[in-house]
Amino acid sequence: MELTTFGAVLKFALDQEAALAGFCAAAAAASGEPLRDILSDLAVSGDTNRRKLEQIRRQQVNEMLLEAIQGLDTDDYQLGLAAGNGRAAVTSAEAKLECFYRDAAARLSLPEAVRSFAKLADGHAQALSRLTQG
Amino acid sequence: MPVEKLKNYIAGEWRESSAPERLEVLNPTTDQAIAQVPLSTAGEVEEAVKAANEAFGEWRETPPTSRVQYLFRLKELMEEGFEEVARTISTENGKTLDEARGEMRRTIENVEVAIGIPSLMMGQNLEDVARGIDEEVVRQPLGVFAVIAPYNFPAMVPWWFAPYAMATGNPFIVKPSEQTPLTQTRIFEMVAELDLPPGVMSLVHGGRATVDALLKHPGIVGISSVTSTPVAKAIYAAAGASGKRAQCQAGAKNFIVVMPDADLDKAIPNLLSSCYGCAGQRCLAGAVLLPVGDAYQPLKERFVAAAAKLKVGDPLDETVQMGPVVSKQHKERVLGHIERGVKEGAKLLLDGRQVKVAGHESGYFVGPTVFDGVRPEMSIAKDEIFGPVVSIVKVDDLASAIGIIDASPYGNAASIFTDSGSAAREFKYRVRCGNIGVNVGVAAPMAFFPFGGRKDSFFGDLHGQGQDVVDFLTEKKVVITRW
Repeated sequence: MELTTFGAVLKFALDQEAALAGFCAAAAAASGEPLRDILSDLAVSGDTNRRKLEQIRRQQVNEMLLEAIQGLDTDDYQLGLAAGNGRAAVTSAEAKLECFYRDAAARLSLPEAVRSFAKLADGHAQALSRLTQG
Repeated sequence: MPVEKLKNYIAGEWRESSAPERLEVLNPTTDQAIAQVPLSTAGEVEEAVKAANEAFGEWRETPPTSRVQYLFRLKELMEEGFEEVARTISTENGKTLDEARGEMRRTIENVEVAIGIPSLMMGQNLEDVARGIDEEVVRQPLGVFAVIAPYNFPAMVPWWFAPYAMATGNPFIVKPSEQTPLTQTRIFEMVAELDLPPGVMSLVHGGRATVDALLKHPGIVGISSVTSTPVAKAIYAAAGASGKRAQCQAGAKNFIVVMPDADLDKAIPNLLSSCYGCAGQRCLAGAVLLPVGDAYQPLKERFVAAAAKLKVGDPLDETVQMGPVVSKQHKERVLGHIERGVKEGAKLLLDGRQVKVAGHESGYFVGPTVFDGVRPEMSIAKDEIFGPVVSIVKVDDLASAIGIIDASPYGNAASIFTDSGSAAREFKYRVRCGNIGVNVGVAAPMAFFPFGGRKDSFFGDLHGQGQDVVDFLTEKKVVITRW
């Protein structure tokens, strides 16, 4: 599905963050150290990101934008969490989300939202780094 | 789903209306009833005004710094309930969720600006106006004010006035549109959590008789309204007849000039938002495009192509860009205007009449519509349609465009798209409209500026929002002192 509106982009991001946070929390419970700590942290980060996204949705639309956003399709950013287990699944999902936020930031016309999306992408890049190193 | 029976909020409590008549509030996407709104009686208006006047003494003596604490809390509640109110707006009005969120943001901005009332309400003084004599001006609240609100911005418009009334020490009564009364009900659920003195804020639902009762009531000192032009004129006259202050925002027909040097890559998205945002049901919506000279052909082609791509549908679907108009009657009215345009000989480049939304066949949808070959004397170029219908009137030069704009009885908003500072300056200097956009399609003033409007688009002198509304809600008292 194409994400043509600001609201659609935000809703997709919120849903993905919720799915990943939920998966991380469940996977953490089934993992040993040190992966458990990393996944627990990522579950918390997911909740923080959701609050941030809700804030963006509330506060960063200063004018009504009707022009369709182009080039963002949900098919390109499916997390595929059911397919993998633990570290591998989350690593893949973090990479997808980083990519999503960077692609979305390049297509949004609201500077504040662009900045926030870039930060969210950085956060997922750091998570990816922890997962691949830790 | 159960249909909600709406109540009034009077004297700090929710009260079942004793009105013999109720209207069904219909979801414009589904044509299903979502609530019943009472057409409150003159007796209920009397109760609200009595409670408000009883609250006035205590409220005006409450320090402004204490009054704004309630607004701080209200802002928090509005942020917490943001999504719920936005969904309510979309459900009862039909605008998209993004548009509803934008409206809520503007609503909250007015609360934020009103929180600055200790500064906004300050007076002036000068020592030694004569030897040993000092003179000062203080601003005092006047009493009970009320707003008669429209359906198109069910959250925002009452709050162009309400937070400033609260902050300046005036009790306030909101009469929402009977077509979209749920939004203010949700907001007043937040107001009810503030534990304000009873009567400071009241919500009275109703229709014409309720409005008449508010207008005639001697216990109300001022009326704000946003309505069509004939209704605004009537409200202004009635308010004057009963000695009230009045500020009456009215209808509009907004023109947008596109110069040959305009950057169309930037202009087209702006024009789309202006003309089709909220399905054209905005008093700032662009309605007539005036391309100058060589701007005509590329503007026409690109605008029509972009408009044709807009996704029309259920406003609660995040991917939808344009929802339905507010009611079946309004849809018929908009379709009537389109028919008239066809009969008058305008060329229908994009016909929104046949739009169908799968799963919502009973919804009040009208698709983006564009007429070309429109002449200024045609009804579609002159009359307020308040729907997603755009007329293109080709003009030779800027002077001709300004002439067409100034011939309109309306004077709400006008915009120009150009790269020329000289053309922009000429436009903003000459055009007799209250809100001017330069490379901006929707010239919507932020909360800290007054919402302009001239000619048949506004009756009164002080506007909503900003310092104007503070002036409207307060009386200047001059004190001359010698000791």
